[in-house]
Amino acid sequence: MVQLGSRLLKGYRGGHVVIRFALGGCTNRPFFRIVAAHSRRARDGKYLEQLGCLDPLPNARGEKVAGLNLERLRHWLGCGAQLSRPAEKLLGLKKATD
Amino acid sequence: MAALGAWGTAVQRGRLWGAARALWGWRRPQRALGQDAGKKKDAKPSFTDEAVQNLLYKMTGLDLQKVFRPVKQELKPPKYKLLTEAQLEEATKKAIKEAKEKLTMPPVLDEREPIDDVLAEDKILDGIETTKYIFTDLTYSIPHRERFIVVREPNGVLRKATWEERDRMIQIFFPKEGRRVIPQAVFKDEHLVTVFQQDRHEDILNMCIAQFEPDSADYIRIHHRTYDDIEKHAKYDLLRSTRHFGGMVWYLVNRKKTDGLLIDMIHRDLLDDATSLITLYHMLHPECQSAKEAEERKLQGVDLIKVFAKTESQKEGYIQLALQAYEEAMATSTGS
Repeated sequence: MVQLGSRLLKGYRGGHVVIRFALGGCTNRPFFRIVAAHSRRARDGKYLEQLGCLDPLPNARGEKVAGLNLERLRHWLGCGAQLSRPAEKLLGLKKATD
Repeated sequence: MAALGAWGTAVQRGRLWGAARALWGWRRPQRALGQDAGKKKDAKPSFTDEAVQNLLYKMTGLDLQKVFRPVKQELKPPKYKLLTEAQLEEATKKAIKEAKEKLTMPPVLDEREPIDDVLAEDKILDGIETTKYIFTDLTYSIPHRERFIVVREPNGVLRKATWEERDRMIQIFFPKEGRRVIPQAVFKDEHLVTVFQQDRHEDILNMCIAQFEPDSADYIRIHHRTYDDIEKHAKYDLLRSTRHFGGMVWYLVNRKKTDGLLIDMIHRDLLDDATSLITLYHMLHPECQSAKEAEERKLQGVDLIKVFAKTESQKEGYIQLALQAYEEAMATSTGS
């Protein structure tokens, strides 16, 4: 329906692309998706691309599983995306002691 | 939060990419697949040689009833077709072609070397996290063998993941049909015994091929246990006309345990298979006495078996008996 088009394409003033964690999962069961999105968007809202995931709860073997699509991450970092603090800590681009 | 450390910054540096990735899983060049056949013809023949494969394929047999026996599927009413003689022949030829594809032998490789490579040791991260992190590279276009999978331990060490961890992560993110993330309990030794008692060797081998990589320790262990059990109880016919027969024959000939198989073949009047088995034995062990005699006197057929029985086998008496019975049967059938 054409009349909804302009309301769905939200335009923002300013803002930039960030790579950050979007929270999903259920009650007492978090799950993060590593996502490239506009900084003004909702945390769990529409994103540009999913670049991976992180399971913050350790599995039966005592490991926290994280997947990263490094090729696309390189692309977005090359396009000038910023990183959120937790994302930086995960990738090791920031001091973990902060 | 754990860190990929200096390795993470390589994301921004493209140079390391190609070179490092190509060498990720391969600690050595691809020797395991026996690719040197062209250069060193005197070296031991490998599983993939054309001559060896031909011999193994001939011995496998082609029982169409067994290859196309009903597999557990959705229940559908059977379809009946009315065919002329010519159409029936054509349908049989097509069935044989499909059966050949179904009988392609799964690869026999050496066991893979365990990975233990430390990429970085960051003492500042020691004690910050309580659990380890496993990072998997999810780039779609790289083959699974070259995929980066690293583990950051709580003491700050960044190491490459072991083969089991690699298989688990790849199955989590790129699931393959018929494979589980954690292998089933039936693959443990104590449970394999139950499987063998029920004569389900072929099923367990099919499950093993679906679950494990051909060069993993578990795959090789399960296959060897199965072959040992079959050889102990002389249940060779269970694997005949399946794709596992070639692998079993290769295993037995390498370990010189061919007597039971030879007797079984003679009992079932498969003399051609028996001669191919002995030819394969001579190809793999050219220094043995029976090989030299066969070479000198250019033996064929029953003589070859007799010489082999005298020189190489442990169960000479049984083989002679079986040959006698076969010859009597031949004499009576040609006489009457």
